[in-house]
Amino acid sequence: MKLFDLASADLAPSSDDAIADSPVEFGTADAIPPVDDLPKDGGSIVITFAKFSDGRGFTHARRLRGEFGFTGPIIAAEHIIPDQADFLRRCGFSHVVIIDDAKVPQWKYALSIIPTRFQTILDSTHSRCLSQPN
Amino acid sequence: MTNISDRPNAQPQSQSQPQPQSQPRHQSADILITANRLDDGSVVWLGDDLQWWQDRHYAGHFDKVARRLALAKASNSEAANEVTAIYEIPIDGKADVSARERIRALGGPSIVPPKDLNPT
Amino acid sequence: MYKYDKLDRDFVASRSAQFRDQVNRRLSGELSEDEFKPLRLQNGLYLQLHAYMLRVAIPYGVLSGAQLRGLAGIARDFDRGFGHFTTRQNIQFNWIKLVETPDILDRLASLDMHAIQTSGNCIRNVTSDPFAGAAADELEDPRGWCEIIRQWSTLHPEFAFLPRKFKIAVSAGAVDRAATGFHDIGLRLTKSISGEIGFRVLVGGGQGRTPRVAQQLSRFLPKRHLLSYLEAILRVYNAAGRRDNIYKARMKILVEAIGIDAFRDAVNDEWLLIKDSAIELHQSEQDRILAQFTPPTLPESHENWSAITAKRADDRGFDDWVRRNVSPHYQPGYVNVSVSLKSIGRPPGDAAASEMEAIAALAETYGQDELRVTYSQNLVIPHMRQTDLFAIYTALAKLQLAGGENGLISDMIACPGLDYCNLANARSLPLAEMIFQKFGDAKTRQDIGPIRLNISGCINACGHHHAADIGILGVNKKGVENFQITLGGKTGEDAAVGRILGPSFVEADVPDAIARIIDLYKARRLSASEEFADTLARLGPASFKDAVYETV
Repeated sequence: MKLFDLASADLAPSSDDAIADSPVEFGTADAIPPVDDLPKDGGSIVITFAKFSDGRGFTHARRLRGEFGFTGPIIAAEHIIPDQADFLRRCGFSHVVIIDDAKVPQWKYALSIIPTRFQTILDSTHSRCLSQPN
Repeated sequence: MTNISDRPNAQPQSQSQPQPQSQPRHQSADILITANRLDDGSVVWLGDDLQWWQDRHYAGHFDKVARRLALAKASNSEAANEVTAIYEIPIDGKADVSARERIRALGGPSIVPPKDLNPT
Repeated sequence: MYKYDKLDRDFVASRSAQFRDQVNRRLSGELSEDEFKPLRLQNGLYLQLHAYMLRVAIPYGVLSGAQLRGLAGIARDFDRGFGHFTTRQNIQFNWIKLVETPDILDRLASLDMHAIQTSGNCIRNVTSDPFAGAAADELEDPRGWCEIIRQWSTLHPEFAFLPRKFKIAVSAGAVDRAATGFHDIGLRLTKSISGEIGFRVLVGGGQGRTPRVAQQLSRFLPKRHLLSYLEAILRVYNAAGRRDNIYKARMKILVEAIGIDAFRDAVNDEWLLIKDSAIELHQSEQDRILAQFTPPTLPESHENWSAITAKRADDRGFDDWVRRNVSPHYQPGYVNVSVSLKSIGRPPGDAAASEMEAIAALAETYGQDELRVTYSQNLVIPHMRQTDLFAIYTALAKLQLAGGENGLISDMIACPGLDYCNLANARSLPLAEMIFQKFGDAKTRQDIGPIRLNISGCINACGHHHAADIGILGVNKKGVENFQITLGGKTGEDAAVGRILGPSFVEADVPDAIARIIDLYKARRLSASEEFADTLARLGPASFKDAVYETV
């Protein structure tokens, strides 16, 4: 089991393995834990997807980054597919748990394939909304 | 492919069994096994030879004994990415002659779509 | 209309490349069918009864002549030479091969088109009034806002995996021609007391198993808050919509379950948290998009209705067509022309590739090279000169597309039904044909006047039978196709769901049942100008039930 870093589009260096130690973990079907139970001081959160089609995980991440102001690692785990990589990253996930190294190229590809984003979330440099019209 | 101007309530010609409506429905009715080809979506039926056929006339009728091997073959075919959406149709005078299965067997709609006057 | 620039083109081209990769991974088995299915649905590809079906997006129903020609080419090269226009202003092709779909998406990208999010549990095509930007009764053109919503909703990372599909419609006319009352979110452009133009927001409408009319969420929403407010609504739905039962997963169920007031509170609570930080469109981008919908410069043209009076007296077909298929325009001297894709022998809403090309040519010659797809599965060519009407009619008549059926009993909305669709209980298309034949005389149809008759092949109600004066629903009665009749559905400001009349009928008996309904209407209407909907409202459904069932 490894961590894939969505920002660098590569496997996280093994020195980052500690990120996933003792995280606060909850499932897409659960509510976000009360703010007092959220990690402080760089601790991480793991959100486990019961099904990859359970889109609540994306709202959880955005709420954690937005309303809760959480800045530590948010890790997506269990049922996710590479094709969701860009959605996960833009909603605020920092890492994904990867079981099979052979999938890493797919995760890298998925992050780079669509060059334009129409929304301004977390990705201003590629956002259509801030681009100059051609 | 069967002639699309056939009305869907015509019986497939080559059925050698008696009229399905006269058969009582048994729990252990024979079954047909059908699916869609993955690459082009076309409807196929598993034949007695355990090959997939696009013509329902060649569909095998599988009794309780024969169906184990047949379903295994179908499942392997799905795992090999040849077919998808496999299901069984009991030959009971109801499901097998339902409007849905008659139209699937027809291979096309029961109406005539508009005709392109400039085909390639 | 919105013109793609390089960013838009790169987007659809890369989306097509992404799908090609996904198809290859499916064919190799690297993606299972369970993993692949949502991905192919989000590119509009269904596995249907006989083959794959591709639903191509026509954003808010607007397309250019070149795009319509391009769709004709796709019908010819990849399908069986025809396409079907839908109640959500899209087009469907029924004989698609999975292995060819990446090539089709490439072809669409070259036309500045795509099939993104026309299916799947995501935000679907934003629909609107087919006369938007050309109507005489419009507050302002809603299409710029449709385009803004389209871009906001396209590959929105938070809302790609909703509990269920999500449909938004926008209207701006005095008459709501976009059926906003039957959408998850309906937006109606409106004026505040101070004269500012903004949106009245409705939520929780829908067809299907549990049809509901949308309820008001906000009486007036300023334009500058539109996207953040939509974001708040979608987030509440994404978080709280049911995921355990697909029949209870639409937003209409959530709104009903917690009540509109509690839903409003939840949306407002969310909105207050995000309204300053969520996506609000930069003014320059908003201006850039809205600028593409300024009205076309139409040369001055003087009306001359008397010039065609003699022709109308001579040619009954022309007279009918002018009366039914010509609609008012905001500029004197101009009109909007409807092309009815409803005729005997034609599945409602279907057009052959050659017909699409011919209609595109008319838009290029006589219009502004722009066309619209309508909720009722027809086409509209806006911005036509009134003085060209006879020439246009003559050209359409040569194509056998000059039927003046707009809004009549022949203008049926019908889903593809069991002839094509995996979900259907019954065939809608042969029944539509039988009903058209029953009222085969044009004079009869004109005399009956405006009436909406819609046919759905199953309870998913893609034929919008709930919203019709006369609705017909296909049901499965022990393996035999049966049909239920409903009465009293409406779209518009006073949207309503139709009510079941009584026991179902076999196919052969439906046309007579419809005829008995029509006979009662004609016998009891106050005058030839009292429309069916008004007679029904006045008499109530019980009289019609008696008429339909008394001789059965």
